[in-house]
Amino acid sequence: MNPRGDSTSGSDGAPEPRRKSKKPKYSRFTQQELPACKPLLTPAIVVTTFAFIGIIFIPIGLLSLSASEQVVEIVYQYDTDCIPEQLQNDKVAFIQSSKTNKTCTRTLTVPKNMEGPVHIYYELDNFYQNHRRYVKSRSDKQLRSKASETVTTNCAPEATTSDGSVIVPCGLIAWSLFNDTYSFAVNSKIIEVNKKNIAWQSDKEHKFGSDVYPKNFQMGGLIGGAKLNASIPLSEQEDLIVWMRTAALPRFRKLYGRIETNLAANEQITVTIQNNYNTYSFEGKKNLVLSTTSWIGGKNDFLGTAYLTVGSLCLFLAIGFIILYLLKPRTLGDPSYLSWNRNPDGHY
Amino acid sequence: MADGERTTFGDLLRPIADPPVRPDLISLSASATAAASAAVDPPHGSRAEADRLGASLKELADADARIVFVGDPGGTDPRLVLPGNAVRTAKYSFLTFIPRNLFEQFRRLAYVYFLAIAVLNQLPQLAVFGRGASVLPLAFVLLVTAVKDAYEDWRRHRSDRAENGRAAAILDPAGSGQFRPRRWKDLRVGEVIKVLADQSIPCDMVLLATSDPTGVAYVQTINLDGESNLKTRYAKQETMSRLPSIIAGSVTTVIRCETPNRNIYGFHANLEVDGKRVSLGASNIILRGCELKNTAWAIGVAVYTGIETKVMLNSSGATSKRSRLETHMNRETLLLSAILITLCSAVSICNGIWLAIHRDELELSQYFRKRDYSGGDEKYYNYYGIAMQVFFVFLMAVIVFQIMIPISLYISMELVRLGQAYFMIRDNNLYDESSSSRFQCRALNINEDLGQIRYVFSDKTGTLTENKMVFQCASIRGIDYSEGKDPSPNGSDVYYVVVGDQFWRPKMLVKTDPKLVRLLRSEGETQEGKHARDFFLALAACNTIVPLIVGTPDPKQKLIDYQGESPDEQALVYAAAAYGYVLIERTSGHIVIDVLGDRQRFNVLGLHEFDSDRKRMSVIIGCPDRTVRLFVKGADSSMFGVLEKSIDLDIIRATETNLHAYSSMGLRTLVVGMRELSRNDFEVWHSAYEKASTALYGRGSLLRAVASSVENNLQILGASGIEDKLQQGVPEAIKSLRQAGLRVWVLTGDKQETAISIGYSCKLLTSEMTHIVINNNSEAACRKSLEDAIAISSKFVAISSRAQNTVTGTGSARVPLALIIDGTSLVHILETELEEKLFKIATVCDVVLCCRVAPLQKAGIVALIKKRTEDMTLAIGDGANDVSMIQMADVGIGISGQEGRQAVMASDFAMGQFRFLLPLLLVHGHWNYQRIAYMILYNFYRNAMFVFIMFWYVLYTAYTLTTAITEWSSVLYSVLYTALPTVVVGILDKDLSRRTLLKYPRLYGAGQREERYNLSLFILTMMDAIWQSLVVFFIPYLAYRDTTVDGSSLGDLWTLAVVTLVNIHLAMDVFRWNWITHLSIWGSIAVAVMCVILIDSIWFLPGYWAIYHTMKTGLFWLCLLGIFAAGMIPRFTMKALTEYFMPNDIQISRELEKFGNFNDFTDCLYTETDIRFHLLHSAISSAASNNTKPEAHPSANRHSLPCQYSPSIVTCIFGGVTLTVVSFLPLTLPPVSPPSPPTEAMDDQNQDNYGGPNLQRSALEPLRTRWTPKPEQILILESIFNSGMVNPPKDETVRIRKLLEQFGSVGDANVFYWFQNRRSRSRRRQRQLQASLMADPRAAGVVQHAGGAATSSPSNSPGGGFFACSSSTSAAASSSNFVIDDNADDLFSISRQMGFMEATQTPPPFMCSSDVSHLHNQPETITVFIDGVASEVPKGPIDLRAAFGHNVMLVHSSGELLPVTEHGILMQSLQMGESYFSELELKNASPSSSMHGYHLRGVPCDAHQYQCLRRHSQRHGNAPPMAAFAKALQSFAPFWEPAEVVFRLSIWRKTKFTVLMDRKKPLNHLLALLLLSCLLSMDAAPLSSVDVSSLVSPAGTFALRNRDEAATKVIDKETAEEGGVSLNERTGFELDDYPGSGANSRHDPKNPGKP
Repeated sequence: MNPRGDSTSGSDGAPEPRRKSKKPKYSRFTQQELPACKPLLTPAIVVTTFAFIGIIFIPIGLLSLSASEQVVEIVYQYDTDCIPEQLQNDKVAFIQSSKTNKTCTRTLTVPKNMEGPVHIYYELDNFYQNHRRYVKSRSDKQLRSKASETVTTNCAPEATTSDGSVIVPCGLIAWSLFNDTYSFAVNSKIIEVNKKNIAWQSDKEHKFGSDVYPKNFQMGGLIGGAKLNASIPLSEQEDLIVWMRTAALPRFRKLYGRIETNLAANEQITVTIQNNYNTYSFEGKKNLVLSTTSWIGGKNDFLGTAYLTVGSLCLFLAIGFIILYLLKPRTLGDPSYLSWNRNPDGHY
Repeated sequence: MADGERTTFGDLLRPIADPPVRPDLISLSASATAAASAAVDPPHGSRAEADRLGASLKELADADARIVFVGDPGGTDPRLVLPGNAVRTAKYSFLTFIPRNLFEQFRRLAYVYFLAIAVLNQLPQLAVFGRGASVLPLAFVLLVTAVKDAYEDWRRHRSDRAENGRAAAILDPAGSGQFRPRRWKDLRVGEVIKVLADQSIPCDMVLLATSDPTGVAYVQTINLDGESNLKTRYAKQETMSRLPSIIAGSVTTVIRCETPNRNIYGFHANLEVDGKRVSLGASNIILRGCELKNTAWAIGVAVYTGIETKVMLNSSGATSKRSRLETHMNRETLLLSAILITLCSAVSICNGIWLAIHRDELELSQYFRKRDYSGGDEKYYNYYGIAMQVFFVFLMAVIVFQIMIPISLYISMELVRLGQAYFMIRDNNLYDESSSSRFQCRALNINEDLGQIRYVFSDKTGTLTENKMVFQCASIRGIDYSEGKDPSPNGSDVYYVVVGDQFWRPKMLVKTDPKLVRLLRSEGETQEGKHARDFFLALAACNTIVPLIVGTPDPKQKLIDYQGESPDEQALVYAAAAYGYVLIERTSGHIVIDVLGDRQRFNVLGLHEFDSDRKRMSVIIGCPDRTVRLFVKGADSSMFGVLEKSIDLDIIRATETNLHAYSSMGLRTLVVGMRELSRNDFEVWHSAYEKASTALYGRGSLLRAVASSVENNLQILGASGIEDKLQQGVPEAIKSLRQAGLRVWVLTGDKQETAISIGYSCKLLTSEMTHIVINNNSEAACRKSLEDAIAISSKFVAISSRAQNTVTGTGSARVPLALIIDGTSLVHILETELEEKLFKIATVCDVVLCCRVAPLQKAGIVALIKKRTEDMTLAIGDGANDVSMIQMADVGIGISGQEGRQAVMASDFAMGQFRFLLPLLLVHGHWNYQRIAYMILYNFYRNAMFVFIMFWYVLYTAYTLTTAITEWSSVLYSVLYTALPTVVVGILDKDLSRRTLLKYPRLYGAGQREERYNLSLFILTMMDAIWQSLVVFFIPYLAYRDTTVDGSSLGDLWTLAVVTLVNIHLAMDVFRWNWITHLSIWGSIAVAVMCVILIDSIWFLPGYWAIYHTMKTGLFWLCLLGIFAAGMIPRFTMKALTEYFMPNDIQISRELEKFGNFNDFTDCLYTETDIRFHLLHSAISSAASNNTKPEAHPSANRHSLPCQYSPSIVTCIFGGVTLTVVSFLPLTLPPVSPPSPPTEAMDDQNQDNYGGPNLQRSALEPLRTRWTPKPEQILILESIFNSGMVNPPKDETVRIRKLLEQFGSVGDANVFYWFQNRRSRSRRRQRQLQASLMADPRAAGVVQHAGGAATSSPSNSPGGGFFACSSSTSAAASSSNFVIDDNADDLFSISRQMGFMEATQTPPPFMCSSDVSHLHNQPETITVFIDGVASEVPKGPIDLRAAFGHNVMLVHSSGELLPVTEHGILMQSLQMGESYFSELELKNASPSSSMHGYHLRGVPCDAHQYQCLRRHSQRHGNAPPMAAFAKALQSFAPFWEPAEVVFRLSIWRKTKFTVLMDRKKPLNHLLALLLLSCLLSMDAAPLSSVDVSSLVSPAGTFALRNRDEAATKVIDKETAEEGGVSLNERTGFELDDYPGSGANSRHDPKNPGKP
């Protein structure tokens, strides 16, 4: 009956007394004696760490600030601007009407020399591209291959037309494709906007099929945005591809195109905007952004400032610690600091 | 069973009733049954338990009995359906596996939570995660567990099959009379079974017959209760004789037995055969699980089968407890749930508000599109109104934020505990060589509780002691024979029995007293000899021991192995054998004893077994000379009542004295008596005995009555003393445990004297303790003594606390109290209102010793503490009587020792030795607690942080719970990305090394105080989590705000940031980095990166290729870097601040581990003070005789010391600790006095006086550059420092450095730091001194008194008079006792202790006239620094004039002038360890005047000026301008200020240094002395088994040795032996037990100086 008790009780005890010695084999591992490094926050390490971070961070901060300084950015908000005075009170009606003239020409001044390529972005605000019901409303399978054209799960309410035929591309995201257009001219000379390669190459190659053509798109009762040329495969529809990469935040920019030429300072750029996109129904804002880039991307002072702040804080801390260490020196590993040595009867 | 010492209720558990000589007359005593069942069953409420036990005392009634028809399984008890003999330990069958296993698994709350979340997620409206992502982790865990369970169950099935398929020989029921093989599982109750030798017994069966004609069968019960000795079982004569007819089925035999129960030591039944009823007891049944031994065959009838067998009923699973930490964790889990609900509510409410505000816009807005036009008819698409949306959002939020409750923590905690258990089991230090037993973790849930224990309840016998009884001495008719000598195995004094051509000798040798041996063998019939013979005959006969003859390799030699259940009896029989009374044979009716070579047969006529009421046992023996004798042995308390007092009063008195002496030696005592029964007496007894033993009802009490009636008017034969040896390492373990702040309570069944003496020998009690003894028989008396005790204790506590308040920081003022209480008192106290009082007093006491306690009382005491405090309790015991206590305590530990497995089966952990408690609690417990505590906090932080990051994002998604982090990452986050490091760290990280933890037991306090896990830490951690989540979220948010970033890219950044940050956070807190830690932490980050990349390589996920795009940008990396820095700054800063400026003990010990290369040396210095002392002594002696002329210096004449002294200066130096002893060596001493072995008593005092280990008082010098100062260097430095240059300017530093460089390389920085540290140390001292000066002298006096008592224990160190002792006085002197314990400055504590110890046994050579009345036990000398030289001075008034000459004043280092009487005698005593400076004083100035008359280094000034200047010079090291002649002397000591030189020399000249101070080269001379002192320290070092090489290179050592051969030779020879041996003993613990710690590689303590 011997093995019974042990196996049920779950103890480790090997019940067989036959084995000569049960002594655990010695190894550094089982005895928890593996060679190990025991880092300690000695004053030297603390001060060095802080100083090091400070010394590293401040130059980085300065560098990124200067990089951000070099970026020239023109932001032009046109959503209200481009609506005629008399229709300001009913913007939604203006934008929904097919009869109104949505062309809007404005002149922007280039503040500084802008070296090409100048990126053209449209910026939407208060547009929740990260809204749960919005992000889900797409079918990657359908976008990728013609074979899965009918896969429209999650695409409701833009999955099928009212007669039941499949919409390609389906879903709210595609449906709401941005459809304002911009054209630029300097001194009446039209500047060419390069709209090639604005989308990620990976998306074009793998996410959007070259054999998938738009079908039944924007045919429903409600037009969400741009229409697509049904003869161009999705992989070539770069505006759609850009748009389908949903933004992280409710205010976002998307690449519209690039101006390959340089823009000189104080040049007057005439922008012709086709103000089609309805952001008025939800009080969204629309901006046109022209910007050069640097190694940290667009204009962004935050990172530089943050680095400077953190760096100087660390330097300050380093100095503070040095002072503290000098003011209240303590021998490391002095047993007289042990609580029972300081206060023999305490701690009971 | 005359186990006199073990008379408690519970001790009776040992199978008492088995071995009667007449099997038919025996039954198990009722109380023993009760006790046994009490021990086997866990007592939950002791009252209820008692009632239940009471019920079991009832005699067996027919109604509830099982009726078994022997040989007729069909007819057996038709009322019941009896189970077959098949056993089934497997839980599942093939069909039931899935449902049952799932059911079992889902009993865990964690899984249910997982499941609920997963189910919630399946609802289409709530589908936050994809189906796979939400179910996969749970499914995985379930599957793994199921596979594991299935495997285990398969193994159980297999072993079940093997077990059930074993063959047994069954009597053919057809009546053929043949035994046929049958499988075990087919056995049925009532069947007759035959078992052969060495076979296992298939079921519980009543013996019918055995191969032995007397019906004896021997069984080994090792699988049942772990006891390895053979037990005897008997078949009834009635069945033996009728065996053929039973087998043939011609007689009807019926057994009525109890219903199945767990009590393996009890059995109640009767048997009816041929109409005759006989009763059956536990000795008539053999149990499943046992093996038949030494018996050819046995036939029995099955009475209990299968699951009803006692072994099955006893095989309970491991106990399931919940650890303290986990309980606390649940509290925080609730808090987290509250946070979770808050977050979810916030999100859902915000969502509702948002929906309400944007109600009108949502119809058309592109991102919402409330309406669905596609179907033609307009309807809402996926929108159910605001209220429903809010509700859905809430549920979705719960799903998204689910990991806020770190459910995975429960799973990883189990893994961690498993790992911890693995390491505990594998720990070599917990492996017991002697019993070859490993540590066992039976409960896996309470590992960390081991780190929080505050109360330890320990059994004594078998736990503190080995439970190997050895006969030590005897008192025969009042004459003490205790001069036993150890026998040599082949020596002539070993007694042999010659049987044919064989020699038989007892297996165990006992030391014998030659006097007694001579007496026994002497011819002629002296009265003395006759008594001695009777005594040993009694020992040999009055027992239940079975002798077994065991062969040896030598065919001519056989060993007699005495098997029996009581170790005491074994010891007695072995003793009798050693003296020539060898028990050779025992059968049921007679015994054969070889009486001094003459074999005699004694008939055993009757036997009264041991029971707890009588506390004695007796046998009635028919002797060869046809006399009938009654031999009784038992506990003294019971025996003295039945002795014939009228004749033997003197002898009884003498015996009592001897007994007292024995028990104070810690021996267990038994008294032996005898009576010769007359024919008539015998007849009367015999008929009563027959009647009682055949009685069907109340047999037990009838037999007791018969026994009592005959056991009286005994003639005393004598008494025996049996030693139960202390287990190895118990005193050390107890000492360390007490230092660790654990309260050790010993609960024993032994009597008070024995308990107290064991208490002393295991260092539980120490001489300075005040004992409070409660020993009463009535409730009223108990109440009174409790109240008295409370009064006493409160007085002591008041004194202690007052003393503590007034003398802050100095002295362990606490007077230790010990409470000794006995079981009888506890009967009146426990579970009455007196309990509260007992609790009050018991918790004040340092030590509690409960003697004579029953098992249930043990549990009651544990419950007393558990009920009233939050503190954790631990119970440790080895026997069945400890089971109740073990189960009651929070942590129960079983010692797998001699007493069987009952305790182990009930315990949470089991191990082989008591001393393993040290590594278990102090090391593993500490680690486990630390690890789990950190792990819980970290897991909370880790998950909370992730949730917060998601929460911040949700605020930017119109509260719709979109996550930028992919669902796969959020599922994998706590499972894959961050799980492994916590588990690895939880298993492997060690804040401190094993050595440190054992060396500083007080570090254990961290767990007791719950320092590593508490609410404030939790809140801090949560705040840190919030900060870090803000950093992680908002840095990328702000950086990417105006870019074209898409959600997936940002999500990837957040994922990587949080994973890395969380792992860096862990990395920062890891104490020890080994390769596994590295691998797991960096590996986890790498895995996370790879997973993110992998996920972004899946084309149909929205984040396709996002990570590749973002990783290409600089912004990404800048964000990451910024997050790490900004996230960690607060934590890092806090950590740096607290670790440096508010270090806790653990932190300091870590630094010590890292930087403290002097550790070992200084430690040994404390423990080996005595050795060092002798070294000093002898060295000085030789130095004195060799180097100095032993002529009395003129100044000595003026000295008031009683004998002549020649001055010596000896300095021991190590690592900045300078002990300079200026001694006044009595020339009357021999040049080299033989050093005596350092006594333990002395050592203990050092240790115990403060309850704190003085090991810790080592001073470590700044070791930034690992400078190891040479002794010479330190003396120089010390001198400079004491000369007043406490803060040398830079150029001075350089000069000093140059000076020091003569002795070894040293840098300026070293010098600078040395001074810095030395300065801070002396400042500290000064503060303490000031505090102590303000001490209330009255309080100090009282405590002093107590302290004095403490030191009065004998210490046999010689060398008194080494230190000058002259007088003592009260006031200030009393504070010196506090200073003893003051450990802030280690510099002087050595000398202090030395002086202190010395004083305890040195009669004060000189008594001052002042009051010394209550101080006669005080240390008479103290060590002070006079002018930078440590000097032993008498405490109390010192004749300054005599000591230093006229015109000298002493000034305290604080600048205060010590008042002096007009006769030049100091009015107050010097303060131990303080620095004083001697000052010249104006001739005619009145010393006591405070107005004028001071000289500052020769310049007269007034007191105020003086003090200012003094302080000035102290602070700046600049002596004021000095007299002109100083310049001339400056050449001697270029580094001293001129003033200093003059000053110093003058002092030296005035004191007795003149002899040594060569007129020409004082410095050289000084250095010569240094070398000597250095030698001393060198030689002492190897003795103490520490690494000297770290201190001084061996070459240096030898070089030094050559210099002064004379001195060292002596030291080597004299001290190495004695000191080495005892040291080896002391350090043996470490050497043996910690092979991994490297102790083995150190110096052999026996060969000093040879690495």
